[in-house]
Amino acid sequence: MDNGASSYLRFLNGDKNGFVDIVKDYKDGLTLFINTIIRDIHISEEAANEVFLKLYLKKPKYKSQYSFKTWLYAIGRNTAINYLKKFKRTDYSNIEDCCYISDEKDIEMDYIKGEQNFLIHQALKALKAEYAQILYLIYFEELSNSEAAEIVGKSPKQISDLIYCAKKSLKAELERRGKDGQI
Amino acid sequence: MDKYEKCAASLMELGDKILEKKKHRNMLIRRISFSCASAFAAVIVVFFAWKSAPPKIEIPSDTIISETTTIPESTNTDITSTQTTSLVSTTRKITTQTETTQKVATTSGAIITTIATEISKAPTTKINQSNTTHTQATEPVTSHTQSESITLVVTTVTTTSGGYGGTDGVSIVYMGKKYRITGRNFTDVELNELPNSQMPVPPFVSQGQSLQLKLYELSGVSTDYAVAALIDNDPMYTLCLGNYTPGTMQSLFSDTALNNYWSINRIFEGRNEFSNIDTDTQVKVFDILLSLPDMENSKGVSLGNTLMKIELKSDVLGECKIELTEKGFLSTNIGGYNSSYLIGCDEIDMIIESIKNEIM
Repeated sequence: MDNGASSYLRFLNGDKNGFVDIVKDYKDGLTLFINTIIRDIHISEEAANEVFLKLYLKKPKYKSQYSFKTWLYAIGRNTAINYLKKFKRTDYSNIEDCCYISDEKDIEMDYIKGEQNFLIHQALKALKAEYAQILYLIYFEELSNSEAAEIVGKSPKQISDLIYCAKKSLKAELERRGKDGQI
Repeated sequence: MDKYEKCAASLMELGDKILEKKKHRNMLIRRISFSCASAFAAVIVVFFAWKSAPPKIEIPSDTIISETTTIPESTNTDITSTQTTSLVSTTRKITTQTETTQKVATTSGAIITTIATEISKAPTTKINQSNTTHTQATEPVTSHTQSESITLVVTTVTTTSGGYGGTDGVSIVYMGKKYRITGRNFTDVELNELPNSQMPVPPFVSQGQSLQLKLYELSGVSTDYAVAALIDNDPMYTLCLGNYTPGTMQSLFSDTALNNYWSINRIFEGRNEFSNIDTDTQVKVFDILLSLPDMENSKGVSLGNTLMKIELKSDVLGECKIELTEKGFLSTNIGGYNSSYLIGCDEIDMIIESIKNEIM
């Protein structure tokens, strides 16, 4: 049982510190993962908060078939898709979005260690959402193919193909950006 | 406290608020649903109680039952003067409870019982409305006649015309029995005692016309079938028919006093008609009918052609007929109710032969 699972078990048994530990361990990673789907760090953060709120209110049962992270990210993906559906019907003000650029960078800086990783993560934003999701899960969250397949709801074979295409697309994007990552 | 702890704390606070709201809402829903269910159950109970309750009965004003025992004056003044006369007057109050309602309606009425007993010399006594007595013999006999005067109320009026006497369709209720007042009046009738002189004051429905009624049992006739009534001091008796349903054939003959009140008017056998049948023959024909085995009423059967028809007539009870059919049935409308009894073809032939032998 990983750390997240034991924290969640503690929370289910009435220890609220377990919930705090889950938030500490998974908030940034979940937010960045959701951001690969929603492409808006502010809404992604809100969606991540909603995921944690779901855990707090509904206390869903955790199946130990996959790791706690896989389970949590699967919930995050479903929440992100719901958000996308919800915000498709809503217009945004682009000026407001600019205000959160710094927030996004802060989270990235906190969570993603290393200059190269940071450049790669920046490049992911230019890729298709599907590619960005899978590459984020495999390379930044270090999940196995089967776990990533569970989160995105695809078969391992589809995941392999997707990774291949995503890598190809990332390579092209990095070449386009140059050494310093600037376009 | 770092930003994650703050975030977790704010999330928990928000979650607690939501949980509190949910709890409050659940409690509210539970209370409302409980109240609604209670109210609905109460409405259902009240509705069924209302549906199952009998119609409201209004109690009429005090009812007076006057029970009088009167012995008419003797024509023999010598004897009258030597007899002792006692007069007892009793006044009491009766409380009656309606049986059909849960609400107890109480009525009180004064019953004045006056019993006058006098020994007179009279072997037979006949009484009409004016309480006149025909006294002929000289033997000392105790005569006893009772009458009960009750204020009755017309409860069902099926026709719009006419009043009570002489009009069909007006019903009265007497002590839980329904009587339909027919248009048939008569004066000379043999009466027994009252159906029940100890009856309490009945809970009448005060709807329609109030009647002052005295009911008499016709001698030998079931009170389920008919009673004689004196209405509002009418000089004539009025026939009141009950909602009579015959049981077996012999009980029908017995209830309707076949060999007492009825006389044979005519007999038809094929195309032959026999009228003016003498009294002895009539008695023999009645004896034949009354000696038949007791049979249950046969309903919904084909009777076949009529072989013999006996027309009966009564000054008091009206007219009726008895038919003997080819399929072995005895069919009659006596008692105002069509009924038929399976006697058997051979027996029917024998009865017809016997009757023919008597009347020829």
